[in-house]
Amino acid sequence: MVSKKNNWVFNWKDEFKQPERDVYKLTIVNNANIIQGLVSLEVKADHVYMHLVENAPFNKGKNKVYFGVAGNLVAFACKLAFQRGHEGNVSFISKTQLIEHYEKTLGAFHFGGRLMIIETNAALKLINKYF
Amino acid sequence: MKTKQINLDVDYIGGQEPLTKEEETQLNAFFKECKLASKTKTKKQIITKKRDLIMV
Repeated sequence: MVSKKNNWVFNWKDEFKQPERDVYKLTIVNNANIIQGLVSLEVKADHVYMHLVENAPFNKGKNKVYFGVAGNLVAFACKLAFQRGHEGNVSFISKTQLIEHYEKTLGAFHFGGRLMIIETNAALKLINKYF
Repeated sequence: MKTKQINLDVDYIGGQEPLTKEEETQLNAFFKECKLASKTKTKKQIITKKRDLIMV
């Protein structure tokens, strides 16, 4: 079960209740019951806003079972942004100390303050990597 | 030479305070500009193509 008790960081039950947000799960082929990671997305008027992304507890840290879960979920957000006619544009909030990390790993750019944006080209790169 | 592998792994993203109105406005303005730029580019391409057709 997805809960803080089972070492998930975010309260996904509450997230699921938010009407304007959609929560998507990542699973592997032939094992749809085991959630590898979750993402909460909101399709805004001109882009997709990524509220939360979280790897399953067993996919966190050095001993994770699968690498690339979060990257895959972010790539999915970009794909959705293309499908909704927003040219792959995705935004999210980052902690200050992680801004550089997201620039390097996701190709996101620092818009200012806490805001990060994944634009069309970076979105295409992510999609090509994971889909 | 050993190539540096970029690890795309982040265990989680988010959980901060929600977007402020000011941040929302900034994002809206940015994406609006992006869409406008993209539309102008498409228009220019169509015009160029039309011109090419006439020349042919």
